[in-house]
Amino acid sequence: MSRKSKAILVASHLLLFVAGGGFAWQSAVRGGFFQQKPAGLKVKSDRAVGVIRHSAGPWTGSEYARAWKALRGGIYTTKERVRVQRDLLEQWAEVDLAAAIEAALGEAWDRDGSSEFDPSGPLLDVFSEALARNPQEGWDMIRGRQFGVGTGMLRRVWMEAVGMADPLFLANRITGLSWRDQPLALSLCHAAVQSGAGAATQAEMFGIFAALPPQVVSAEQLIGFTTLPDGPFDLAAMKREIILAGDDDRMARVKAHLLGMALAGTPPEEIAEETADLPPAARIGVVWAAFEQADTPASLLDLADLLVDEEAWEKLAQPDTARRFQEIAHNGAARDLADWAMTLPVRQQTQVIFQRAVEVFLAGNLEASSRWLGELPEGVWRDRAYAEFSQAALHVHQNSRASRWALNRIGDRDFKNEAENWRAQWEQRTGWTQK
Amino acid sequence: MDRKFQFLLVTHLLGLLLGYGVVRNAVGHFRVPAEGAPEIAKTTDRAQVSSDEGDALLADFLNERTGKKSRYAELKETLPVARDLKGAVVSAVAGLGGADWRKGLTRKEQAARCAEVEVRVLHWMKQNPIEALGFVLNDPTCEAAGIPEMMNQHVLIEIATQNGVLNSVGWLARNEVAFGTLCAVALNEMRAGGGFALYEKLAAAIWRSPGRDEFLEFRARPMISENPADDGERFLRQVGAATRFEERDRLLAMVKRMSHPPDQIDLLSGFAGSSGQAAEWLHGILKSGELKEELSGGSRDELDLVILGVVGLDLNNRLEIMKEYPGDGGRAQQELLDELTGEDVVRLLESGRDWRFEFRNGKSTLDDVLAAVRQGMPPLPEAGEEAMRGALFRELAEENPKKALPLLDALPPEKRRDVLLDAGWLGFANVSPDHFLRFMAEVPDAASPEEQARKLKGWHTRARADLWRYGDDYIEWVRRLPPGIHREAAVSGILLATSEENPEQARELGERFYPRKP
Repeated sequence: MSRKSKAILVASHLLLFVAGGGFAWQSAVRGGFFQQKPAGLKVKSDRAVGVIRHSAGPWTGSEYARAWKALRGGIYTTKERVRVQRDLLEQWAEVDLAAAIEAALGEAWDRDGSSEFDPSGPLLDVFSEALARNPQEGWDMIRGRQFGVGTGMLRRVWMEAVGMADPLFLANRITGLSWRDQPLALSLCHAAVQSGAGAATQAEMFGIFAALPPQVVSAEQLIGFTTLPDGPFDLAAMKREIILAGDDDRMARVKAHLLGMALAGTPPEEIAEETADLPPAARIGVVWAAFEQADTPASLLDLADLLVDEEAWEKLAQPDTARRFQEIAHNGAARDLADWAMTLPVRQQTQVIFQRAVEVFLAGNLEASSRWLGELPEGVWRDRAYAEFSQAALHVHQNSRASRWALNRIGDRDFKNEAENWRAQWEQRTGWTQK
Repeated sequence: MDRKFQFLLVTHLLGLLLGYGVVRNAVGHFRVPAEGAPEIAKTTDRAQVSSDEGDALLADFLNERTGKKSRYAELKETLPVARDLKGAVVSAVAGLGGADWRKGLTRKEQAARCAEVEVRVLHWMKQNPIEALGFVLNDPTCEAAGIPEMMNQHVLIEIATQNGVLNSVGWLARNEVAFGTLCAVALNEMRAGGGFALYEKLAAAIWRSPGRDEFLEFRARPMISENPADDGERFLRQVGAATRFEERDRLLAMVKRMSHPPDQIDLLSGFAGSSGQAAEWLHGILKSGELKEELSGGSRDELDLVILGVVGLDLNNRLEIMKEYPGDGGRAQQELLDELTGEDVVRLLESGRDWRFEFRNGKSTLDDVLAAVRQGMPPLPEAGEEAMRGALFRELAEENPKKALPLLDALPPEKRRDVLLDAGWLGFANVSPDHFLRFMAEVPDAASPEEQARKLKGWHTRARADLWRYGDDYIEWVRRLPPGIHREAAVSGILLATSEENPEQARELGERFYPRKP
């Protein structure tokens, strides 16, 4: 063999050796060996010669991984360690979200001082921003259970982040979520609507949710996404549709709500007239929607009267009703509300409504409210009002004498004992002793 | 085919494969291990926990994190002070590019972009803080671009620290934007020697300030940041904690002058929590009835709870409080001691050095942690030793059950068994199911139906919380468990928890786990 042939042979073998190495390198990088983007190829030479780049530019995923691992050799307080980890993860996620999530899940999953029901531990919410930036990437991770059982925590973080940043994206994925997660997704979409996601988004969400069965989205939930259509509103047609659908139909209840929204501001007697021929549940739905929109104490109380006529006790006992009562009571209508409470029929279901309607007035000026009490006709409500006055005197004014004055005026002996018990609890809790 | 050609073909192929193998091997050598759960949580030996390269990178990161290498720090050094201070701020804000300048930028990028605005405001504030802050707070362009909130990052705290909080109240107490800075700088100065006397002067200055009412509302709320690791304590509680023991009478005098019970409780509880000595003092004050007029029964209970939590307070004092606490009266001394000791272990591990993290990662050994806990706790009577070991085991078993097991060697066999049988439901809240499974593998086989029920209680307690937390991913995790007693227990937990919530879904799940034979 000539020297030239030998040289060619050596060169060709070397060439294939180098080519083999090249394939190996490419496959390593493609396979995510270094958990970095292709731009990070530069690391190859750094690693091979053991050079570390210190902040010469943006870090690669593997540099974050090394810094992350190095933390384990340090001594920190728990709080400081979590802070550093969160900062590292936040920046790491910009380079390689999946690797950063894996690292976070490699840490302890509990947060000190949390309850048994802590949604995602001390680290994962740091990915909210990255997940919100690219909802599809997170969705693919969740659907593929990319991180095993820990994916469950990520799903919550993803839902909350995307629910704020792109609620329509979340709404469109609701059928891909388990029944366990659908209520949260719905409430996040609703929160987005309430914080001003816009009429178009709201309408689109309504369309998405209306297509789901009532077991997934109830009438009450769907109502949260209703918007009044632009332009003239055909009340008669809407009423016909409600009557045809019947009381059990989810859309009938939604339409009743729309009708109520459309009628808001109309005098209550007209609302009563308009709804007279509707089925009972739809009538309540219409009045309730109008009640929610009422903007004056007088109209609110007139509509509350209509709800009383319909015996809609459940609606009247809702926290929303209490909130509206509080609003008007604190805006100058406390006495009107208390007077209205005295007109309620006496029955088990109205007791809590009565209590909420009188509490602000009774807790205000003790002198004025005691005068009011003196003018009340004898009966169950007067006794209850005395008991509520006693509670307000104790809890708001720490005035045990005023409480005693009221308790001594309760006529019904059994109820007086009950009210005395309420006071006894206060005495026990505060260590009160008669001076 | 020519034999020589065949030979050359083989040797060339070998060259190709050799090259592939060598590089692949080298890459593998440098490979960063996947940080996935649960493998990552395996403990490593001390020697493995860090590398020089990683340490250098981490040091770099920490430097940058503390602002030493930030764009802000760089500009603070290099940007010349403009002649027209206000004009420089206006033009820097305009340079951000409108109200939605943050859009699409990461937090780090945002910080770099707004660095010039910060430095320009800093220059102006050094000359005239009231005028500069007034402009930033009232200018619509600044407000739209979120400049006021941005000032909390560096600028306000630097100026207030430099001038002192008392000299800065004039501008700090004007607007809620600066209240956080006011509190932070005041606390720093109190701790650095100013003590409670500084707070008294500060409170008087705030009282005269136009922002007084807003500040009172602010201080009644927990001081929170985006970071959940922050304490979130209310300001007055931190003031109490920063008060020196010698200043207790001044603190008490202020408490007596206050009319808002939550404020009184905050000051007293912060102070009592600062040392065993302070807790003992407050315990004495409460017993003497000196604050009876000021504190209602509910407030007293709240303070007793705080005192109970002070590990440095004499154990007998704490047991005395426990006995008097509503509802705890009739309980046996040993039961109270066990409870208190267990709570102390948790308190110690949750405050200060992160022993659990070190134990998990092999930085500290079991003996290290045990020694630290002994050192942190008051002298423990022999009767408390078992409870201490049991509680410490429950904490450390969540990190590494095998490594924590020797803690139980000192216990009598039946006590050891009790700890193991009950740890599954007493602990392991919000812990990876993989870790829980690893622990349950260490629990001895049940010797009676009663013991079996205790083991099952662990799986059933976990199922409720885990289904809530991981949802269907927990079901999938259980589905993949190998057949056996743990899988059966986990499945029964799932079915039980689901049937409480949704019987129909529980039925479907039952059929998935136990399909009917055709």
